[in-house]
Amino acid sequence: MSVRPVVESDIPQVADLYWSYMRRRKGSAPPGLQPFLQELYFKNPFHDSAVPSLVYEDSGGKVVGFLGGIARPMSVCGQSILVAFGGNLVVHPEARSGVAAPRLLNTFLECKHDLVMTDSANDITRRILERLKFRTIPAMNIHWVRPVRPVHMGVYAMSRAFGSTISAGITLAAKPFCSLADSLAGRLSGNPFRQTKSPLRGSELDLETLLQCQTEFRNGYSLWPEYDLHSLEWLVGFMERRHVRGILRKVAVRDGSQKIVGWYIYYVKPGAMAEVVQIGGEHEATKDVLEHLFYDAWEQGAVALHGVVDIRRMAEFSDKGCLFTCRGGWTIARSDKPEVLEVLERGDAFLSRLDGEWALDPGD
Amino acid sequence: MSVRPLVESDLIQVTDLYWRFMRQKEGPAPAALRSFLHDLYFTNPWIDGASSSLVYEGTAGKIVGFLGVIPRKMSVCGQPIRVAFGGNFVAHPEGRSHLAGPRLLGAYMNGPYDAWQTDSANDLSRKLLEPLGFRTIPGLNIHWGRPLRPSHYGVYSISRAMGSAASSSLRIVAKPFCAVADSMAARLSFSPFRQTEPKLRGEELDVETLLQCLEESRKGYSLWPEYDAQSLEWLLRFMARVTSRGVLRKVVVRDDSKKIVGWYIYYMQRGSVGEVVQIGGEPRFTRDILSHLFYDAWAQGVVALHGVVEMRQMPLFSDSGCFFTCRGGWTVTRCRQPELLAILERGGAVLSRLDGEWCLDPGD
Repeated sequence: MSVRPVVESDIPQVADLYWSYMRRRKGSAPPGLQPFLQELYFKNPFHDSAVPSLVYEDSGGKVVGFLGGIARPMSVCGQSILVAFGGNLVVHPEARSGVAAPRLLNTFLECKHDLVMTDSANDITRRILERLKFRTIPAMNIHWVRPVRPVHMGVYAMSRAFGSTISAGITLAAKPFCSLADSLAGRLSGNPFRQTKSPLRGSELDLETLLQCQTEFRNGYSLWPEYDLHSLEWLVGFMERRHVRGILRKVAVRDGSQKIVGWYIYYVKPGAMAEVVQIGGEHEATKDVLEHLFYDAWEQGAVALHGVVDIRRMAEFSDKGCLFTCRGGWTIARSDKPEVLEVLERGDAFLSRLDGEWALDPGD
Repeated sequence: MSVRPLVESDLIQVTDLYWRFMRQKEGPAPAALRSFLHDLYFTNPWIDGASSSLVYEGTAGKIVGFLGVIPRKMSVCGQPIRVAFGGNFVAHPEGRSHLAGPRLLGAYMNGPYDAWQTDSANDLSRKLLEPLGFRTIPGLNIHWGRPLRPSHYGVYSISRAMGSAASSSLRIVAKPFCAVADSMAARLSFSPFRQTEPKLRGEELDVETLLQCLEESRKGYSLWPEYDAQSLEWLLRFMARVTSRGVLRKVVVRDDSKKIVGWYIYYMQRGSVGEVVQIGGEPRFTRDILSHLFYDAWAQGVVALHGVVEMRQMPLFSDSGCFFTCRGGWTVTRCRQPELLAILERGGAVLSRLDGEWCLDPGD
C-alpha cells in the first residue's frame, strides 16, 4: 500500500473512482470523463512535476485513492511563486478506514510549493484541512447572488431542496406563474431587480484582449496569476467544454470612446443560476459592468447570478442588489510564508474562479 | 458667519435644526429630544472640557449648521488614541449656500484627533466624505441579516418600500398566512429556520461583566475601544433610552460549568427587526452564541436580526444561516497615520456598533 504519482494508465481506475465515489453515480463512468481527466492532469499547460497528482494503491496494486494536483504560476509583488491547487480527493469506501486520505494529503503537502490552496472545498474537506494547518480566508470566501428573475429564482432555490422528480414537477407547475410575475416585476419602476439596458457596449472578449486586461487591471494588487496566451487558450478551451455549467460567455465592455472599462466571463444556462467566473475592469466602472452583465444574463434566460466577490468591490456589488453568503465552496490556503497568507487575508490578491481548481472541475 | 464649539444655550436651535432638517419632521421638536442631545453632547464621559461638537452661525448669530462630534478613547497596541466620531451633520437650507457644510467638516477635520470616523453614513454623506480623504473600509461595512420568521420578514421588507397605509394593510392581510408559515418553519426538522432550545445558559449581562468580557475579547487585535465602568454604564443607560429601536437586551452566555463563553447586546422589538449591537465571546463558541441569540430573539417575537459582522467571523455567521449586504449605514474613516488605516484595512480592530456613533443616535 503506497502513494505514488498518477500515470496515464491509472486514468480508467481514477475515472471510475471519481464517478462512483466523488459524484456518487451508478454504473460505469461516461466515456467522455477519461479524456477529460487525461487532459486535465497530463496536458495542462501549468503542469509542474513539483506538484504531482497522486494515487493510493492497495496491496493488490488497485487504485483506491486519488488526489489531483494542479500547479498555478503566480506572482507576489513581481516575484514568482508556485501555487499548488489540490482537488478531487476521493478514496474508495473500503480504504477509508485506513490511511489512504492522510497519506495522499501529507504526500501532497510535502511537495515543493509556496502556497497550497483549494477554492471549492466542501464543509468536510474544510474541517479536515483546517486540522492540517490550512486557513479559511474570509476575504476570499464571499459569494454573491443576484436574482434577475426573482420569482423564478425563488422556485429554483426551493426545487433544489427536493428530489429531481419533485423538483421538475414544481418547476413545470410554477413556470407560467413565475414568467408572468417576473415579467410584471421587470416593468415596475420601484423593483430593485428591474433590468435596464446598459449604455455601455459589450462585445466578444478574445483571449489577447483578456490577457491585456488581466495584466492592466492587476495593478494595485500584490498577488496575481501569471498567464500567457497558450495557457489562457487551454484554460478557456477546457472550460468551454464544461457543458454542465452552461455556455461560457466572455464579454468585453466598452464605453462610448470604445475604451475597455471592464469585462466578464460566466456560464449561462436558461432557467438556471448562472455561475460567474470573473468580473474585472476599472474600479469606477464596476457598477456599469455589473449592470451590463445582469442585463446580458437576463436576456440569456438566467434566473440569477452567483459568483465570488473581490472584497474591494463588495460595496459596489451591494449597491447593485447583490446579497452575500459564504456558501458555495470554501477557499482555504496553507503556506509556510506568513507574508503570502497575509496578502490573501487582507484581500490583496487579484484572484478569481478562473485561477484555481473551480474552473477545472470535470463535473458530471 | 463662523464655526465655533457648541454651547449649552445653542441646544434649542440645534434641536429644531435636527428635528426639521435631519429627521424631516413637522412641528416643534419634542422636549425629550433636547434633553437627549444635552446628555449626548454635554454629559458623555469622553468630553474633555468644552464640547467637541460644532455649530455654524449664520447672520445675526442664528445657528444654521451643526456637526455632532463624540471623541472616543481607543488603544492601538496599548497606546491611547482619540477617534472623533462625527454625526448628526445638518445644515439649514439657508446655510447650505453659505458653505456651512464644508466649513463644519473642515473644522472637524482640523481637530486634535488621531482618526475621524462615522459608522452610520448614508450614501450622500459617504460621497461627500470620500473626496475629503475618508476611506470606505470593506471589512468594516459587512452587515448581516438572519431571518427568524422568514415569511413575516419577507412581508416586513416589502412593506418598508411602500407608503404607510399600503404597508399596514399588507401586514394585516398577510399576518395569518405568515403566522402559519413561520410556525412551520420554526418546527420542521429540515427547515433552516428551525428553532431549538439552546444548550448554553443566558442571564442578564451587567456592566462589570461586560467590562471583563471586552478586555478578554481584544486579545489578538491591534486596535480596541477603551472603557471603564463609568463610561460603559453611561453608554448603556443612554442606549436603553433610545426606545425607537426597541428594548435593549444584554445577555451573558455561560456553559454548564457556569463559565462565560460569550455575550450579546441587541435591541428587541416584537414584530420587527432586532438590531444587534455587539456579539462577543470565545471564537469556538460563536455558533452556540448565535444560536442562543436567535432563539432569544425568536422567543421575544422578533422577525429577523440585523447587525455588523467582523470579516474574520463571516464564515461562522454564514454557517448559522446569515446573509450579508453592505446596506445599513457606511463606516468611513480618515486616519492621521497610515499605520492606523492599515490596521483597520487588515481587520485588526475589534470594533462594534457599541463603539461608534450608531449607538448614540437620538432617534425620532
